[in-house]
Amino acid sequence: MQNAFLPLEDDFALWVESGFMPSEPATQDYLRFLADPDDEREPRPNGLWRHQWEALLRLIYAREVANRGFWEDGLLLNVVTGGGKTALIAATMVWLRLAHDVRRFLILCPNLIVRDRLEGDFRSGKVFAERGLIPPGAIVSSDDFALTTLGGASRATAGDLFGANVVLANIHQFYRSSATGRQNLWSLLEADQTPFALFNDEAHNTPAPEYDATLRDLHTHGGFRFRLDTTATPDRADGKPVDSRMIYEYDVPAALHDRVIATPVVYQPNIKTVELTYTDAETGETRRVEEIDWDEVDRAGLSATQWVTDDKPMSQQISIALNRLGEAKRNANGRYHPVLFVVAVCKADARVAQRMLEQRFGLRALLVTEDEDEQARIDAAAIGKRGKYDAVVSVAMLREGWDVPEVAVILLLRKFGSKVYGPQVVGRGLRRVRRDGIEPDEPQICAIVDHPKLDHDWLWELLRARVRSDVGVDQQFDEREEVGEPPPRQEIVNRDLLISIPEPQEDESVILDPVTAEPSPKPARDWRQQLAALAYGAEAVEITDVMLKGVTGQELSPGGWTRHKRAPADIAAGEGTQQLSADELREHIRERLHQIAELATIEAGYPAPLRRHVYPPLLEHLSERWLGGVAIPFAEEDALRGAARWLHQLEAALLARTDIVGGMVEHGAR
Amino acid sequence: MVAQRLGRRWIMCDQSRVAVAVTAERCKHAAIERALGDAPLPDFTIEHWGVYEAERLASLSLEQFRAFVLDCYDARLPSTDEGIHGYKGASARVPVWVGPPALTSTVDAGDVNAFAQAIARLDRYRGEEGLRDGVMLAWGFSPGARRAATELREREGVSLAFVRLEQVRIDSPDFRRHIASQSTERGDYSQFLTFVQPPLVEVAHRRMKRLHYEFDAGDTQPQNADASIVNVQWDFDYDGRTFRAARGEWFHRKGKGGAPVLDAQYTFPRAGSFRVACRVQDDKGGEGEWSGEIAVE
Repeated sequence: MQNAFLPLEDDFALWVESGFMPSEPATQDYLRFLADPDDEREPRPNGLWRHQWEALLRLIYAREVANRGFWEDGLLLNVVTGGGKTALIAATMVWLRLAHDVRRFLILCPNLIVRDRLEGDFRSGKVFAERGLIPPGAIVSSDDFALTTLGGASRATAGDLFGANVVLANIHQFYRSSATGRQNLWSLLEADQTPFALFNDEAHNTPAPEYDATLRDLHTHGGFRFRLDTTATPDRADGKPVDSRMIYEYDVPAALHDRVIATPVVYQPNIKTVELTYTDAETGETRRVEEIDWDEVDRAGLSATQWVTDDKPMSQQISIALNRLGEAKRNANGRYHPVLFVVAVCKADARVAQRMLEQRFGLRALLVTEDEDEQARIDAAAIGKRGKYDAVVSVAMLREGWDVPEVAVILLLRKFGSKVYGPQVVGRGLRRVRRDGIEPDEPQICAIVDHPKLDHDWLWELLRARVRSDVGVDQQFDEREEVGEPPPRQEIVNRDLLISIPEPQEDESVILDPVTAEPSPKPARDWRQQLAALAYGAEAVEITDVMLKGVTGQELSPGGWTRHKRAPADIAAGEGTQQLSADELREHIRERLHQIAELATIEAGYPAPLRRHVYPPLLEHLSERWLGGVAIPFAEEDALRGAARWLHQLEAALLARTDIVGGMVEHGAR
Repeated sequence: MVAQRLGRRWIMCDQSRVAVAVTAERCKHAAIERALGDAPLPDFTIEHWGVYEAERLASLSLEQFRAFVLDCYDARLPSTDEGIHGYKGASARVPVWVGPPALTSTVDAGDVNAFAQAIARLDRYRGEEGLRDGVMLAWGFSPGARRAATELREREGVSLAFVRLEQVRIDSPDFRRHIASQSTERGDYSQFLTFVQPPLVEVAHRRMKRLHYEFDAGDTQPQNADASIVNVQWDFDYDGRTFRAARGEWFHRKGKGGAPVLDAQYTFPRAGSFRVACRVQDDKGGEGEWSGEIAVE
C-alpha cells in the first residue's frame, strides 16, 4: 500500500513551521498543549511518543488543510504492534471534540480480543489520564468520553447507544443480516443524529462483504464526520487494499531504531537434529512438515485439521524455547515475569503441547482456544501481571489485540502462509515491557523458535529479525550482547526524486472469457414422431458370452524367452449360458427400460424422478416396435427375446437425443 | 368409527403407507355401507410425515427453496455478491449457486457462464488467494451446462482464467452425503432428506371373454431406491375422484407372506365405458395411482 501523504510532505513541513497555520484556532491550541513548550515542532516530554505526534499532525493536516476528497473515504495509520495506536485514537477524539464539535465516537473492532483490550484502555478514561491528553481547564473532561461497550461485560444493548459518547463494538454487531444488527444501526444512526466519528481498529480484518456494507452505511449517514483506520498490517486478509488512504507508516525498522519495540531474534535448529513431523490425530497418518498443505490447513479451519506435532520434535522445540525463556528470566532479573507463547497447528495440537509443557517440563501452561471458557481469555489478558502461568498455548485466537509485553519467547509449531497473520502473531512478542526500574532504551528481546523447513524467511526479512541457525537443543546464549545496534532508520532525503507507482492494474490474465459451449437442444414438441422415426441398426447383436480359444504368453527365463499356450477345456455348447424364463425376461426388459429412462432423463438435464415421463413412452415404443403392439405382460416369449436384443441400441439412441427426452418431460408423455 | 359417529374431529396415525391405505379403504366402505348410521360421510385427508416429496419442494418459492437447499448443503446465506447464492466451507469460502425449484427447469450453459463470471468478479478470484472453485446445486444439468463446466475447467494449465465447478444434483447420493455428514451425537441426519417418489404405475389389460377382462400392473416400477411393491389395489368403477378399492382388492398376496398379486380379473356388470384405477404401494412409503378408460364389450 502506498503512502498517500508523501506528495504533501513539503507543504506539511511549512504548516508545522508556521505554527499550524492555517487550521482551526481550537486545533492550534490543542497542538500547542501537546507540544514541547520549548519547541512546538516536538511533542511534550512524557506526552505522546514522537511517532504518535507525527501521525497526529499528519491526520490533522489531512483533515483541515488538504481538500475534502483526500480524507472523506477515511485515513489510515499504519503503526507497528506496540506502537501505541490506542493513545493515537484517544488524542484524535479529543481534537475532534474540541475543534469539530464531534460528540460521538464509534470504535469498531474485528473480534473479542481486540475489544477486551480497547475496553481496558478506555474504561474510566484511563488512556486520556495516563497520557495526559485532555488540557486542564478545557471545556471537556474524561466524562465526555464515557465508554459504552456493546454486548460487553456492561451488557449494553441498542437502547444504551442513544446518547452514548464512546461506543465500542464488534463490527458484526452492526450487520444488517441480523435483527440485533439492524436494531443497533437504527439506534446509532436514526434515533440519534448527533455527528459522529468512526474508528476502525485493525482495518486489515475487513474481508467480508458485510463489513464493507456496514462501513458504507455509516459513511453515507448525515452525521458522519471523520473516519480513522489503524492497523499494523494494512493489507487485508483477502488481498484487497483497504479503501481508506494511508497517511503515515511506522514500520518495524523505524520502531526498532527508536527502541519502541523489542528486538526479534529467530532460533532455528539443524534440520537433521530436529525433524519436524506431524501425525493426523484421527487417521494416524504421518507427514513431514513439507508434505503438509498449509494453505489447506488454513482453508479447512481449525476444527477440520487434526495434524499434531510428533512427540520428539515437539519436545525438542519446547526445550529450545525453554532455554530462551531461561535467558529472558535472567534478563528480567525478577522485575517482571517473562512468558512463553506457543502457536499450535490446531486445537488437538494445542492440547498436546499444553499437556507436554505441564507434565514433562513442569510449567504452568494456559490453553486458549474457542473451546475454552471466557476465563481462559481473561487469564490470557492478565498473564504477564499475575504470574499464574509460565506459558500460553493457542492456535489462532491470540493475535491482534492480545497485548502482553511479558511475552518473551514465541514457539511456532506451524507454518504461516498468510502475509497478514504471520506478522500479526509474531507481533505479540514485540511489545516492550515498560515499568519503573526498566530503562526506556534497555535492550529487550523477543525470541522466536522457528524451524528452517517452515520457510519463514520472508517473515524474518519483513521484521528485520536476526536469524540464528543450527541452534542446539540444549545450547545457551547471552543475548544481551547479541542485540547490537538497531537498523538505520530510512528517511526521505530528496522529495523531488519521489515517483509515484500506480496501483497495479487488473491482471488481464484472470479475466474470464465466456464459455463457448453450445447450449443444449430445445425439447422437441413433436417428440412422438421423432421417437417413432428413430432408426436402429440393421442387425442387433448383443454379446452374451465370449468363448476363449486360448491364452498365449511369453516368459523371460535364464534360458531366454519361453512361450506358453493354455487352452481352456472345450466347453459344451449351451453350457454356461442361462436361459431366462418368460417372466424373468419380462422383468429384465422392464428393469432395463426403467434404467434407460433414468439415464436419458439425467443426461437431458432433469432430475431422476422425472424418468416417470420417459418410462411409459418407452414401454409403448418397445411394444409398437418389437412386440407387434402387445403389452409386455401379454407378449409371447419369442417376441420378448427379440425385443431384448434391441435395448442397447435404444439406450444409445436416446442418450444422444436429449431433445426427444426433453420433449417427453416438458411437453407431456401421456 | 366411534369418533365419526359422535361427530368428533379426529386424527388417526399408523406406521406405514400400506396400513394407512388399508384403514382408509375400511373407513370409506364403512361410510358407503352406512355403518356410521346417520353420521355424515367422513371427509379426510392423508398426510405422510417424516419424508420430503420432491414435488412439494418444487412448489416452494425461489427464496424458500434456495434457503432449504443451502441449509441441507451446510452452506451459508445470504451473500451480497451478485450471482452467488451462498458460501460453503469452514470459513465460508466456496461460492454456491442454487438452481430454480421447478423439477423441469434445467440448468444450461448460460447459467454456468453467469455463475463462473460471478466467481471471477470476486476479489478472492483476482487476489493472491486465487479462488477458482464453485458449487452448483440443481435438480439437473443439461448437456450444455456440463460441457460449459468442462470447458471452464480445461482452461486450467492454459491460463489463469479458469473455474472449477462442481455440479451436484439435488436428488443424487452426493448431495445426500453432505446432509448425512452433518450428523452429530445428538442427531442422525442420514435419513433426513429422503425424496419419496410414488411408484410409476403402468397397467396393461386384455379382454378374456364377454365382459371379462384381465388387468396386469406388472410394468409398474417403484421409484424409490431399493423399494419393492408391497400392495396393489383395484377400483373397477372409478369416479375420477375417490378411489374405492373393490372388495377383496384391499390387500392380497400369493399365499401367506408371499409376493403381492399384480394382476386381477374382473367381470363388468354390463358393456359400456368404465374407468378403472389401480393404486400401488411400495415398502419405502411411496404410493402411486393409475387410471384409464376401458370400453367393455
